[in-house]
Amino acid sequence: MMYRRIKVWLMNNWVKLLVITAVVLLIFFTIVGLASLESFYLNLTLATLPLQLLMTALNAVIFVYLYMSVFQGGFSKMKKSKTKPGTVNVKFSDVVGLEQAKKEAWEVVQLIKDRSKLKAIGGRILRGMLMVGPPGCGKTLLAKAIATEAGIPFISIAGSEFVEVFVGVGASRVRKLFKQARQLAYAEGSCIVFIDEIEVIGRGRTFSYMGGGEETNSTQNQLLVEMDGLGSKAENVIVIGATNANEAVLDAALLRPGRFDRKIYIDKPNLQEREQLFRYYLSKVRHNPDLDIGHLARKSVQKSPADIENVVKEGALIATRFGKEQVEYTDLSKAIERIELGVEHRKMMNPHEREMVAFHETGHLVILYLLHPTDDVFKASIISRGPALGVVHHSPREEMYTMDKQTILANVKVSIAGYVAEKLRFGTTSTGVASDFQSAMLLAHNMVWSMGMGGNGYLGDFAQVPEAQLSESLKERLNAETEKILKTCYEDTERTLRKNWKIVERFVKELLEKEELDYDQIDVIFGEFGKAHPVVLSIPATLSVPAIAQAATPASETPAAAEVTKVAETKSPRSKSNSKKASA
Amino acid sequence: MNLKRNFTWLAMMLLVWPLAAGCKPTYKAGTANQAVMDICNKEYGERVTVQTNGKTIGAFIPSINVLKSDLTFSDHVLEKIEHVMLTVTRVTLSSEMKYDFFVITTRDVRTGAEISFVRYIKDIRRLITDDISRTDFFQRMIIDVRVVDPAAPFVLKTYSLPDFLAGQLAERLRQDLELNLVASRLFRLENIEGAYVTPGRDQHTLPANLFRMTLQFQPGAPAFETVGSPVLREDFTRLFLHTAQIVTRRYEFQEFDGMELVDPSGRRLAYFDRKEFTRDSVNTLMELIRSLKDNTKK
Repeated sequence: MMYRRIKVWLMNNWVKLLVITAVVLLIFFTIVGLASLESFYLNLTLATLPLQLLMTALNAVIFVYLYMSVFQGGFSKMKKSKTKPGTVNVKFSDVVGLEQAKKEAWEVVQLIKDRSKLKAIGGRILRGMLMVGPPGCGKTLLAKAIATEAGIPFISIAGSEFVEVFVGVGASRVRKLFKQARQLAYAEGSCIVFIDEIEVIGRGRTFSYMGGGEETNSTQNQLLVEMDGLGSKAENVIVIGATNANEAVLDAALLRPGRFDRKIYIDKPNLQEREQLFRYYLSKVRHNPDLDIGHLARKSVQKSPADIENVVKEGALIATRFGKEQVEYTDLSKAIERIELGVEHRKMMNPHEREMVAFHETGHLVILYLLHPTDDVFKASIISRGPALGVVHHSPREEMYTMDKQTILANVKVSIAGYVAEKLRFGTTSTGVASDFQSAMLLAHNMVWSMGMGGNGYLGDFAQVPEAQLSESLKERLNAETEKILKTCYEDTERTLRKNWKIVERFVKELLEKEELDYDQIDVIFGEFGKAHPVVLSIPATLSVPAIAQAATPASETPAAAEVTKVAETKSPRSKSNSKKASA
Repeated sequence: MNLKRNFTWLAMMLLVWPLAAGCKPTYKAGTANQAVMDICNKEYGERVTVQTNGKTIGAFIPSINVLKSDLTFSDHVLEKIEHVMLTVTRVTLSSEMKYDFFVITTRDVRTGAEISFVRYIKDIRRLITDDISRTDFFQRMIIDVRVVDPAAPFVLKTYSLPDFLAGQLAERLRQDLELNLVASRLFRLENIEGAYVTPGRDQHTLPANLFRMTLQFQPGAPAFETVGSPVLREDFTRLFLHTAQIVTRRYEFQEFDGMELVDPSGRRLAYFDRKEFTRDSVNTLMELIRSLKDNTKK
């Protein structure tokens, strides 16, 4: 192995070695030559030596610069971080959470380490591993941990680095990258190439009937060939790709066995993992040891590890700003709000407009509290943040990976509640309802067109069908169903608000006075009117599905059965705070 | 990183070593003579005799057929002189002993014709460092021609800077062709000898340090005062002054009080005080020569 390392080192550094040898020889012969001179000529030469050396060095620098920029790869030269096994130094124990992913990664490490055993059986080490997950969940960290635990070199590069204006540069860079990886694999036994944002070069290829295609096609083709092509060598180069995009976006040729053999799904942390993450990041800052980490974890549903790190950092900044010596719960809470809702910036609103905003937000708040089955209200505010004049911040009580019909309908009602409240109070509405209508419309449309949740019994994803192939009457019926859902939600919302108008007025008064109300204050006010959390989606094991649906649905809705549908993220986004009144 | 640092130290030491070596002169005091003889013998196959007298080092090259029939130097003699001059230059510049002048003398062992070349070593140093031009450097030499007894031993004359300057002044005046044409035709000037006289040296001189240019006229030449007009004679003598200004200025030589032109009998023909050695315009020499020509025609 030492021989191989020396050989690879020589291959990579022969130019430097040659230059150094030449310089040393030049210096040696110069000294020998100078030593043979008489003292006058020697002194004369030495006196001009600094200037001559300076001019020579200047010429050399210009020459080397030109050579490196033009001949050493030119456009296809790229920066890549190459690290030896010892320098990455991220162990599995440093990766907090991701237990399932770590388990799979551990298997990969064992395969790399014990490849001889595998080869004895006749097996083949995996060629590639794809990590799919939202951003900031630890894909790069896990890849580094694999490299450290396996004790092999790690080359990290982003997919966008392969993209260049000139065609062919991407493919050239792929070739160079794998050439280097093979050298390292030859020297060290194996090598990991980690390509982040692989969807940049890995998305489905486009084939034009005229023979052309996108530039990334050639890059991807080269990648496919390098991973498992005709000429691919036997060196152990393992490619780990990371992407936030859906697997369906990537090219099928890339995902087939023999290339990205393994797929690891790295999701956002659950409650326990969020607690671990908070503990980990809080251990790096001075904090109150009595911090309720569980509460923080519950408040951070759907937050990624990067988000949690950001919360702790922001909390530390807030604590410093207020001159505290340690981070408190309030600092972290403010950090969460600051990150999610944005920085406050107070606008000078006239009293009428301010009251309108207060009614609008109260509408959202009351409906959310009374009708939403899964979300809790954490904050209601009429302080402007960004483009929004007010906000009602809510988040799920616990992780929910799907949304049933009741939840979606509740979301629709919450969205239009602001409009309803304004109309009930002022008889008119404002432009602030535009974004609420947008989300309500989208939800209602998707319910009918994509999820088969309309009352007319039409099932299927009509949005996928080309519009020209749908009959006008079908479109009309579907749109009518959408309209019906909106109307029904509107009636329900209006009824609820009228019924609880005193609560609405009370909240408006509080908001106009205090401008912001948090969870506890909201709970207290509802408690004053004898309203606990009326809808809680907790599922006892003994109940059947229809019974559950009946128990969880308000009187206005009578679905035949609860439909639990897997919702694609693109069709019903899980916004953290969908109740904002946008300014005109 | 350690390897890099060690290599840097090594490179620096390697560069410093010759610096240290270069500080010492190559030839110790008292070894210059032998060194010149050895180098001439080893590198050029020339047998020379070298003497040192004060701060003057001299090399004697016995030759045959030093001059050709047209009184120019033979090629083989020129080559010898060149070799020996280079050798002496090398040794004197790198010697511990600080020489001021070297003299290269070649003598025809059959006819006794002896030619000596005298150089100021500082001029050589200035040429090497591009402090003076080549043209100026070639003019800064004394060439002394005489006839001696072929068997006489070589005697090295000691030079001092004023003596050298006086000789150089005479040499420049001799080599000035324009002057020769005018001088030989009108004044029938044959030769100029230069000397630096001090009160101690010449009891007949006024108590002053002077450059004395002795003008040797051809036999039968008219008296200097009778040749041409006073203006012509003044222009003629001002040429001497101009050349003396150049020489004293270039050497920054201040230890003189004036210059006199005398005939072989010692009669003073002209005298220029130190104050007259002010800077003239560049065209003065040309103007003087033109004026002389015009007046000669007249």
